[in-house]
Amino acid sequence: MVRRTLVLAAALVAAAAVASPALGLAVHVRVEGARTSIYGAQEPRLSVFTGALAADDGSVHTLTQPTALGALEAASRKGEFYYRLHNASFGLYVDRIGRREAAGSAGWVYKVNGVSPPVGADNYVVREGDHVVWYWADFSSGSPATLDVVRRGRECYRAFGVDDQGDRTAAANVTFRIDGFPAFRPNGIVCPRAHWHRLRATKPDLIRSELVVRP
Amino acid sequence: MLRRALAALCLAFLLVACGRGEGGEAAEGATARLWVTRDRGAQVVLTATVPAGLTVMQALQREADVETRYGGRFVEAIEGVEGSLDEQRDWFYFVNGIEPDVGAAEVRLGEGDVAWWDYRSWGEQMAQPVVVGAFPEPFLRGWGDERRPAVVSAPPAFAVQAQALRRVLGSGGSGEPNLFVLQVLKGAHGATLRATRGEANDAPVTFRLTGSLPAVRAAAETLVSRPASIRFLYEARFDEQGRIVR
Repeated sequence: MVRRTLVLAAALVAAAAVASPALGLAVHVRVEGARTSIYGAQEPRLSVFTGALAADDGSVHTLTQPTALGALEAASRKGEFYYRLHNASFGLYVDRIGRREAAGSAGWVYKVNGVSPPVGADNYVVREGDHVVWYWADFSSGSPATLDVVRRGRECYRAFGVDDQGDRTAAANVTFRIDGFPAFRPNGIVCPRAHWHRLRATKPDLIRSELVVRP
Repeated sequence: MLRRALAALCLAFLLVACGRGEGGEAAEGATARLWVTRDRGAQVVLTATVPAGLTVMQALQREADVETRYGGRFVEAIEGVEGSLDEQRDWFYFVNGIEPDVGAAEVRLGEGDVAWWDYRSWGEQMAQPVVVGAFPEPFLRGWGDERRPAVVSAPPAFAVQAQALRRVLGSGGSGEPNLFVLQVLKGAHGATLRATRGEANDAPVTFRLTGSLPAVRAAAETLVSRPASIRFLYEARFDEQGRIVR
């Protein structure tokens, strides 16, 4: 185990050494853990990483194009969180971010602009301005929807559930968190009073929304 | 139970004529494979390469000591291992992992086909429409000349695995697709691969790989990189690391 860790550490150092500077393409990145946002609750823009990455077996893989995996790598560097790339015989996938490792019925997946791509993250080429969200999902009862918050009128916000295909349906029984305080709304619409700053939508078994900051 | 067994015997020699039985033209030098096992594949009796164009029965008679009944249409014994009505054990056969409902003398082997004889107890379950042990043949060859398209259905957690399986199962074909489903099972430990199909010989097959998320990923990796590791199995069980559990 110690040896494997050392090999991994060495490989990571090696990868850092050969990393090329970003090519300038930027996407929005957010990483959602099971109970908290690990990186970028507001989906900040980041230059997508391209270059060499080390997998868990010490193998090195080069991302020549800006990919969803490159977006995660960029976030990991910026946010200083750990993730692990598993090298399967036929491809790469992320089996751990932060403290959580794929286990039982849950693991790490990603979406680009609300859609779950049918390919591995190292094969998904992103475009300027894409929204890339990595999240911890429990698949025991199908794929969980991700929550999205959309402004309605001047003062109100409505929550939508977004499925793997990117199809949106109005979400019911949503708990909004307004400056940290929960506000349960059966109709999925909240109109917060003045003086609020930060809002996001949550619902059991769904992936929490991005953090909305009062305009 | 006796009646069911008799029905099976009748089936073996009453049914005649099927797509494969006609023609039977095979290219010069083309070969098919013959597997003979016991107890749902637990014990291998023999494997051999045979010329394509033979019937499943001829292929067997070419490689093994066979006793037949009912005008040579029903296999009584292979290598001295005899079927028994009392013990409810008999010889059954699959073509590319699919159990046809026609006699073995009626089915002609095409190039690359797998003829698989297995001696098993049928007391619990008579028919075994499709088994996993010839994977990926039910998808690549299946039954008859018409190749069906393959559809891999999986949640995003298995995007990488589904992509690799699509490569193995190939594209093209026509008609109702064969299906390969990857699915997470709540509370599962390890993974299981099972196969089902409809009643007709040429009905599409469905393979279902279910279990914990890491186990399904690892098992898919095993299937893609070493499909022969589930050879001869009726269904396959995998541990969390994707190793076969026997």
